[in-house]
Amino acid sequence: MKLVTRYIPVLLVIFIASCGKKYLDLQPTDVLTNANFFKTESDAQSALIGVYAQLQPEATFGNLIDAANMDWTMSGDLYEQDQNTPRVQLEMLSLPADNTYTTQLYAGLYQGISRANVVIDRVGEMENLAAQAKASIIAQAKYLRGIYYYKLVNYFGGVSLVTTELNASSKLDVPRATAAEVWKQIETDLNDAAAVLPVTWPGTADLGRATKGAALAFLVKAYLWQQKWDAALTASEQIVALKAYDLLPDFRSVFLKANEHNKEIVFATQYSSVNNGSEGGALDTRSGPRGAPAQYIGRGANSNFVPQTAWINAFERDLTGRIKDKRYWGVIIGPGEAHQEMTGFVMPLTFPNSYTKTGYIVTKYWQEASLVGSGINAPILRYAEVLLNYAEALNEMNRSSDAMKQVNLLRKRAGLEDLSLALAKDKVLDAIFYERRMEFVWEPAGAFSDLNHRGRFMDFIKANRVDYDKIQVDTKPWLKQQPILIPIPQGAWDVNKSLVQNPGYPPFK
Amino acid sequence: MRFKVFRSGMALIALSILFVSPATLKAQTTSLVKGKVQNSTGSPLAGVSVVIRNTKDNFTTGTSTDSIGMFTFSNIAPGGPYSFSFSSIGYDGQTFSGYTIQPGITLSLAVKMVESANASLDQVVVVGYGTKRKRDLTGSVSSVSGGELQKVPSSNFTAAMQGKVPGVFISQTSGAPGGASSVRIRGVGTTGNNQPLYVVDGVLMGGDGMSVPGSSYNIDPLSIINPNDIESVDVLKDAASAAIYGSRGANGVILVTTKRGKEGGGTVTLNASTGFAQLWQKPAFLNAEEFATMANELYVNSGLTPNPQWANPKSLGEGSNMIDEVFHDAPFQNYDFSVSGGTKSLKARLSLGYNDQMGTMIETWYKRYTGRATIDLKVGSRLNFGGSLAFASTESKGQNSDAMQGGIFNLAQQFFPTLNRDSNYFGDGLYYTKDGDNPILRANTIDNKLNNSRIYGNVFGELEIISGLKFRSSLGIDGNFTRTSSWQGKLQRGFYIVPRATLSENYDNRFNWLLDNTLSYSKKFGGHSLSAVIGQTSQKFRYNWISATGNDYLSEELQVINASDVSLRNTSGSNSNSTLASYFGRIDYSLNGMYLLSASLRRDGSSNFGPNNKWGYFPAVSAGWRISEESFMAPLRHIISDFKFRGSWGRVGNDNIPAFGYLSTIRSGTAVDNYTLGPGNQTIAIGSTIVRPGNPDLKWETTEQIDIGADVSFFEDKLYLTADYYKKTTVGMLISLPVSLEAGFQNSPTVNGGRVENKGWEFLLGYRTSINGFRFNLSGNIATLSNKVTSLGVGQPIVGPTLPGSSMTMTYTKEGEPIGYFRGYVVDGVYQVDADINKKLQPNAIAGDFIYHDVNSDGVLTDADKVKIGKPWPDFTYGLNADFSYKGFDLNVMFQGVSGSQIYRANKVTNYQMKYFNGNGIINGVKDILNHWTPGSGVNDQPGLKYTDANGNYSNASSFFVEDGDFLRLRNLVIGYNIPFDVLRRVTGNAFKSVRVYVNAQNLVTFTSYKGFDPEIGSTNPMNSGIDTGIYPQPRTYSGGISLNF
Repeated sequence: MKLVTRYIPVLLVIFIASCGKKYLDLQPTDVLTNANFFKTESDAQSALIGVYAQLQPEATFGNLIDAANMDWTMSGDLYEQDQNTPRVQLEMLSLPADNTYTTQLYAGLYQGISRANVVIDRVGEMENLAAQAKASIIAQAKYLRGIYYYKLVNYFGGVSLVTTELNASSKLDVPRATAAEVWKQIETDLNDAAAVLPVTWPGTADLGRATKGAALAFLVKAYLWQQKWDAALTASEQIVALKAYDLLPDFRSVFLKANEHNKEIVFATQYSSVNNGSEGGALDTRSGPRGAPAQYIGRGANSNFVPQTAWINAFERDLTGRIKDKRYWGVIIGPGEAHQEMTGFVMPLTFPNSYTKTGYIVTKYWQEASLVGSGINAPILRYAEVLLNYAEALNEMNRSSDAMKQVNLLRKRAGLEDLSLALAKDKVLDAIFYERRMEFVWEPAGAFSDLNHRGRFMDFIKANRVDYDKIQVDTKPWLKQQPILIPIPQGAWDVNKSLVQNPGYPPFK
Repeated sequence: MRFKVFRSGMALIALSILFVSPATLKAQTTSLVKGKVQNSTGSPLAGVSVVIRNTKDNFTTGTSTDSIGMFTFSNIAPGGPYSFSFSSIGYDGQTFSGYTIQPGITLSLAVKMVESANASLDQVVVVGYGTKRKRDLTGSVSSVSGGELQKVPSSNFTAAMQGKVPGVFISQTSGAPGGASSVRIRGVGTTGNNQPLYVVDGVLMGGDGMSVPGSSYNIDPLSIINPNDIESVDVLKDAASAAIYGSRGANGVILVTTKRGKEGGGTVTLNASTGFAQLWQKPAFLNAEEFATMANELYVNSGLTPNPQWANPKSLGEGSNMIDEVFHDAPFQNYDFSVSGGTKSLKARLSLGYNDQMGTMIETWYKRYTGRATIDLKVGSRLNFGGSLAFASTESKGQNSDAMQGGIFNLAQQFFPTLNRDSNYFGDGLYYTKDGDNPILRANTIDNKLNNSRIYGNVFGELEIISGLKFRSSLGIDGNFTRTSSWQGKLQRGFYIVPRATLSENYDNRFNWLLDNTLSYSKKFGGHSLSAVIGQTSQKFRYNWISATGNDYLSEELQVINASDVSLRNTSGSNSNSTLASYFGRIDYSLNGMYLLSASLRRDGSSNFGPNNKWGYFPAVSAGWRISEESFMAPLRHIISDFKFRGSWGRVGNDNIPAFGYLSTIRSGTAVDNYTLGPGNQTIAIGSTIVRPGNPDLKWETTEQIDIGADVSFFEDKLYLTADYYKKTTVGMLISLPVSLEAGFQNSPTVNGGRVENKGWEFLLGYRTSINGFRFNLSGNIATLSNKVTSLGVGQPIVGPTLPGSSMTMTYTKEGEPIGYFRGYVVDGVYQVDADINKKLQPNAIAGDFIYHDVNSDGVLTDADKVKIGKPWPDFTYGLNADFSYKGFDLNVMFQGVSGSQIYRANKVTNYQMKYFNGNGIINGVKDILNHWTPGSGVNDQPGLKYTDANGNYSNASSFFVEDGDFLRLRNLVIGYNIPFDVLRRVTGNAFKSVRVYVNAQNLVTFTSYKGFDPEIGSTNPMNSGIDTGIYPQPRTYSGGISLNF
């Protein structure tokens, strides 16, 4: 019995010790929660960086799905040489609602909007934050929300408008708004941003953030879409008046990694190859020639998109037949031509089909053999585009000769002769669109979206695509719409039954 | 010492008393009783409990047999009548009564014990926090003895349980050595985690699989238990039995009891076995000539120029066959060694095991070392201590075998037969896919290893405070330490480029402790029998991990992080904790052994849940009526030896969700949150995003189950039947809310949404007897299953995961249908000529494309035309088990089958299309495509060959991919021989107690119409089950072994 009396207390002590009140009240040790975040300025800044981060995916502002897959392949100047089915669906304008890439684009943009909404709501409620910092953070977030919505309305038309933070108990199946409502929200966000954002950031560590000029430049694009020529003109003049931007004399140097943040870049998605390329991009592997020696292509190359011969042939040539346009020599190589920097790489005369089907390769983003995610930035909006947008507004306001002055700035830089300042209004518009086509290959400008907003897309492909007959336009009622809209993704309707499909497409059911 | 050797004789009743002989000792006032206990093959049995009782004066004493099966009672008072009871776990107990002992006489007994079968009523069944005799059970509990498991040589016991327990559907998720099983008790109750709770000697074990880095399969977490250390496995199937485990019992509970030391001199056991595994079925792939012919046709059909290298198919001949190169006959070996024994007060058992298996796929293997020690100590008459400590070390090398993209199994299927085994994929991108690689070279240049150490055990003390009242306290620990490494050297192999060598190493450390305190009481008075247990338990989990990656190695000889470029090293790490606290109680009452009643309640608290739902209650009641004990049944007793009705109801929970789901969590500093700003070689700006919006009302899922059953045995238990009907309803199923894309959440919040109903019948029927020394035991079991989602609560159906590399979604979960059923278009055949094409329905179709059925006849093909085209869940599963023995020979035959399930053969996307998803170039295909559609062929079940699939024949889920998943498999066949004890004695003296040799074959025969590699497609994710993406096929194995007892 001694043993018994000795052990019982020991066991009872264990029994009681295990029942402490705090025992079940644990907090996560590995993640922050809404309970302990949004307390300090660094929390707010970090959340803002999270909104910028959503620019990097290929589906949003990475210049892949929008710029290459949709804009440039749909208009037919870039060729999807693998004939990968979802890309062919875009190239042939079959545009099924379950296309992988348009679904990724839609989802990725809304993730950016969601991140921006959190920052705008939460930072707005923070009390221990200097007014200036608060205003700056919110202005950047609004700029980003504005451009995420810009891309949505640009491709899908009126989409669901979500402008506040949502949670598990919110109404999540938000119906579509009209395009006009979305444009209004974009104008509000970009105007709010332009009022607060600096022309240039004082510290170099902030290079790459949204600026007043970037907000105005997107406003111009929004006005052009809505044919608000007057407003577009005013905003364009504001940008020019900032005197923050200029065209670089050498076309290629606009894109070079060593020359980031140059005077021509209004806004670019930032990538870096530090930290093993965790913040790097893949535009180099998308554009480099597949199967080329590793010393030139580093971790690999896919030749996903190569220029079509029709586009090459559109460049102005001299009497010997040689292309005059410096823009060609800046960012393209063809048979027998050496890479601009890696001069050891010469495109073979009888090129292996794996390199490129047409003989040409875009070297805009393929500048070096990178072993990790590439640090080449993706240009989103350049001063060259600002000038052409300005020209479009001027022309519509019946100042065609002023418009041509802007066009000639670009031609001069390209080594081409000036065009007459006396061109008729419709010819001026043609000239603007010609420069767009030759200037912005594989950038989110100059192709489908620009043509579409002026209703020129169907005429353009009829005139320029050699495979026009294969598209069988008559069987595709969505191509008869103005503007032509990308279908709302099937995956979106699967979970949000309030969505209605765009006109011309089979309705959801 | 003298005793008579047992002779077999009257054997109609296998258990019998055989010899009573008067001894010629001097007359004394007391007598000696001694004897010997053997098993059915004549080997001595140690540790059998022997109780002698004088029924007249209630004198009782007991002992156990020693290491050679002998027992002795001295100083037994003459008189009587005496009865002798013999019992041992795993054997039927027996009692012989009516002996009168003469003064001064030695009574010698020779007893043969018979191994118990499932139906044996005196069998002790482990239930939560206690044990019960099978006859007293009121819930649905199935038991499998260690002996049965050990007949199936396997590295994990769950594989050996396949087909043995009705209502427990076990399938292998991978044929990789050590590969994990998916265990489903009574269907699938949730779209989340469905693995049951495992309790090993009272320690609740986490069921997280060990994943080999870079591979797509897991090592079974329960493979840490050497099957040869298992005494018995008990499965708590109904909620009433599992409710004592509260918030963790919803998927059922599997209780594992390991072997412990028994009283008697030392017993040493050595088991050794060896054998090999091989693929049992290899679908045929195109040879070089056929491949080139198909390829040329494909290009011509698409208006493309065929590859000049393939212009003359005849000249290419047979070519290479990578499937034959990637799979080989794989040897395995298994050894284990144990020592056990003990005295009345101290018993111990020690064991060590080693298992070494090669995989049938090249560069895959598995090695395991196990060790286990148990000890039981009795201090005085009221205090017991005991404990166990086990260790397992697992090493494994894996390959990314299962993945459709880049897995070596799939690469082998896709490899160009025109190339030889050392070739690269290279050439014109129109012909050679950039995504391919040579599987052999890939397997040889990637080194993915897992090294896991697990140490777990418990110590307990038990005090009998007053007679029948016991206090028990137990402390368990479970440490789980995993180190993985993944090496890939620098190379450029055709299109496949690895620009620099990379080594990633990960170390994770999981630890939990578990404290149980229980107070139990049992008392008999008159015809009443009462027992009760109350208790408290708490458990704390700790998890942390750290990983490091080094890049760019100066010398690839040194595969350590330290040899990498110092500026290119990355590290990461994290940690988390969680706690559980519970209180529980159960009361069992029986009247005259006839009316049985049991009730339990558990209260559980978990740190994973928010303040609104910290605690939950889990009650259960069950009752039984042993109708055979009623007096009106007495006339039938020679026919119906036992008949019990039982019924139960209980409520259990499933708390398997990520911790802190009630909070909005913010993720910081990952690549998808960070951005980069500034000039030049930009620096990283740390970003943060809300990774998952919180749900403050989140709680565990609750499962309610009713079970009605009967256990009947006839003709002195020779024929036995167990039947159960259950209905299991999961409410508040945890679902990842299908969130509209417009909400823009990074991850979906978890909500308590759905309601799922599983119901079914389970039958087990057996017959056992012995005729002239020929013993047999035949049993069959069958279970039906009907799974239905009765509500989703969250509005929208849940679309299952996308097939990697494509936009195809194959499964769907919606109200009124089973979880994760297959959904897609119905293929009505193939458009034979362009004129037949309904362009409104399928605008992009051309002749040779599938005709999709316009289900709602509205003239357009929409989501509404996608219908149920199959389901991964069988309508019924069954097993047939036959044991025969004659003299020293024994034979076990075990069949297992499933019926009514389908397989979604996702591999057809690549195997039939000859395309790497939507990528460039082509790949090889199966021989079946020789019968593809061509103009005028009239073929209606395969589309034509094309480079670009505008109609989406291979990107739309459709009935084309669905095949019948039924199979019947000769899971196990063993033939063994026990060398007779007297032969052994003659040859080896007393060196051996028993020697058994056996040969075994597993998966010897499989009946199936499935045309893929293997119809057994287990998956741990119910939303992605039954989808064959090139799962490592189950092998057929042959082995032989020997088992020695010293």
